[in-house]
Amino acid sequence: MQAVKKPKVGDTIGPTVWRPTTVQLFRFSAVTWNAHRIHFDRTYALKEGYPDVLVQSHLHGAFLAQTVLRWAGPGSSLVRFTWENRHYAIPGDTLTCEGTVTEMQGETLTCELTETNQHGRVCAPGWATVAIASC
Amino acid sequence: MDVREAYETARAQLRRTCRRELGEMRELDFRRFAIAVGDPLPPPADGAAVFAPPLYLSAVLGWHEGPDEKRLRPDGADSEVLPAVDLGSLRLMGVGQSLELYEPVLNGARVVEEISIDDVQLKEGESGSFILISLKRLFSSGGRPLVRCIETFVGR
Repeated sequence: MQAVKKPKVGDTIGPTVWRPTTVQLFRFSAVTWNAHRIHFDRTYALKEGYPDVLVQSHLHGAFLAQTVLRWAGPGSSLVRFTWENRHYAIPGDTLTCEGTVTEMQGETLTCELTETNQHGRVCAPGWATVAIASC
Repeated sequence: MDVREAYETARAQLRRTCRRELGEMRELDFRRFAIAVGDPLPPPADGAAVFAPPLYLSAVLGWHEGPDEKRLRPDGADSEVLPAVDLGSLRLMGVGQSLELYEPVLNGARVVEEISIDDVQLKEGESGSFILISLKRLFSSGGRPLVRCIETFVGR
């Protein structure tokens, strides 16, 4: 859901749902020139103790970042952004990104974000400061 | 190289800065990155500036052709992920990033990265020793900062 008026503290961001696929993971590794086997080699991932290949760290971050930017609207931009990888995600997972506005200062908002899988497990918390293009 | 050796190696390189030229930024790569994330950039418009998605600079691991396959680490990773220090076959997993974004990254900009090891800690966990290593990365163009990034990895 996109912000259509000036945001305020307590506003809900998202939710936006992302469903990673093996093709997506392959293309993300390709475009970031990342040959780490954990993201494309299922045999290796199983040997490492995971149920499948893993969503890339930076892709988790991108899901969170794009969630808040979609919500904030065209012309908005990230000023600060932090995320942490807490739990892995695999192709076929349903990742729900959402958040809450925690502070407003002029045309800038700060928010807390979470990426949660279909089992309710938080895969990645995030925090963003966003410059809103127009309110 | 075991975990303690990797810790000592990284500590010896603390705050020594490496500088590398990332080259000229390309709209095609911005668009591919956006498509790969699942959030395409708007269609091209005549004369409109094209900006990189916000995580683009700090997410790309390799900016040049890189080593041939025989020189990659056993897990497939390129040692370039840590240009400041060679940690041998230590397995690294990304823990997250903290970014400050100063200016948009434009198509055609020539970008330079300065990277250093900001912190390294030796830890004990349930499955043994590991290190937490934080890199400080500053991306700039024409002497102006674009993105400052603190990136943390777990190494086992």
